[in-house]
This record gives sequence, structure tokens and C-alpha cells, in this order.
Amino acid sequence: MSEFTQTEELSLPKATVQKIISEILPSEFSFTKDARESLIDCCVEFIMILSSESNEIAEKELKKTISSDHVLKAVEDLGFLEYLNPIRKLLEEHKELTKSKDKRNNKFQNSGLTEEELLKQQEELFRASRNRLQQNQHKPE
Amino acid sequence: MDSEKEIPESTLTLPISRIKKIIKMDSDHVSCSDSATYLLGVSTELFVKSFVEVASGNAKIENRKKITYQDFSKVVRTFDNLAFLNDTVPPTIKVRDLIETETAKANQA
Repeated sequence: MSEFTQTEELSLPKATVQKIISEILPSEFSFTKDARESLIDCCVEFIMILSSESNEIAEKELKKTISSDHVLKAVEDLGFLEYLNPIRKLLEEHKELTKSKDKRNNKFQNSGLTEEELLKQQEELFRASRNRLQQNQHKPE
Repeated sequence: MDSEKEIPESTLTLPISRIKKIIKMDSDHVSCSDSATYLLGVSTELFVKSFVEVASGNAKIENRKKITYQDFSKVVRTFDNLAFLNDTVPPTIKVRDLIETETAKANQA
């Protein structure tokens, strides 16, 4: 796959980028076609450099997975200090959001038990009901 | 935390799937946690906003409502932390200047 093809395929939806822009830019502003296109290219470049820097930081810590801490450090190292506070706040909100979603959807996770403990509980429940069944079978008339 | 509190929608506008695709382009990349991917997304959104905001400032100074390629190019050259975009948004050269430069080069050869 040629590099050119890759760049073509890797893009961001125009409408989505427009939505983000409209959150801060007064509606009287508009873009020339090549300005809009290069803006999207810049976004893709940004993601690439941030993820590559985060990856390096993770590797230095001998970690195979990029964590949110690695990304935060990368943002700082790349000189985007003014982003740190807002993104930390958003991360906290996001964590709360995922926690409540999980609570809502999964009562097993909510029980605070590990999978092992849950399996044990399940086994015990089966055993108890089996015992009850046997007892009923051997019930004297 | 009140469990009955209305859960707000995700604060990320950019599609996560597309972000993941771009991350995977890095040959050194192995894996990325969900919260890390989310952070990458919101950081990019912040980048878009501040980049556009400064560029629109350039247009405003010249009383323009249309933001141009040159506005972005100027922003890149103004801020050190945007040096990574030097090749993405190179400064435009007037065709006349280009012809002059190339002609001069050819004459020297």
C-alpha cells in the first residue's frame, strides 16, 4: 500500500470536524476549500504525533498498552500544557460516566465480586438446589 | 453518586473507530486503553478548536470572514509546538517567485 493511499484513507469526517469548529467559531466565519482540507490533515497529524509520543512513553515504562497517564505525559512533552487541565477534567467525567453505565448494565460487576467469587457462588447455589431436590426425592411420605 | 442521575452523552465528537485506525498506523504501536483513546480524541478536539481560533484571529485582523490556507500556515510558523505541522501546511510560494527561483537555478547549472 503506497503512503499516498494510506493518507487518503486516513481522514476524519468533514461534518464532525465542522461540528467541533462551530462550538467555538462564530457562524460568520467560513473556510476556503483548501483551508478545510488542510485542517483535517493537521488533525490527523496531531493524532499521529500524540499517539506516537504516548507509545514511546509507554515503551520507556516497559508497558505494552498506552494508558491515559502516558497520553497526559505526551500532551505535556509536546508542549500543549494548556490542554492538561481541561482534558484531565474530561477524563474524570468520562471515568464517572463509564462507571455509572457499567453499574446500570451489569449488576454482577456492581456486586464487587471477582469472576472467581461469582463462579463459586453459582456453584454453591447449584449445590444447594441439588441438595434440596434430593431431599425432596427422599422425603418420607 | 445518585444512580438515578441522568447520564450525559459521551463528550467526544470525533469517531473513536477512526481515531483507533490512525493510532494503528504506527508500526511500533501495540495497544491502547479505552481511556487513553478517549484522551487522544478530546486532545485532538481541543487542538482543532485552538488552531481554528488563532487562525480566525489572523483573518479578523485583515477584516476577512473567510479563513484561508495561509491563515493556518501562519499559525504553524508562530507557535513552536506546531512545528510538527511544517510539512503538512508548508508556506505557499507565489508562482512568480517560484519561476524566478527555478530559472536562476537552471541558469547556474
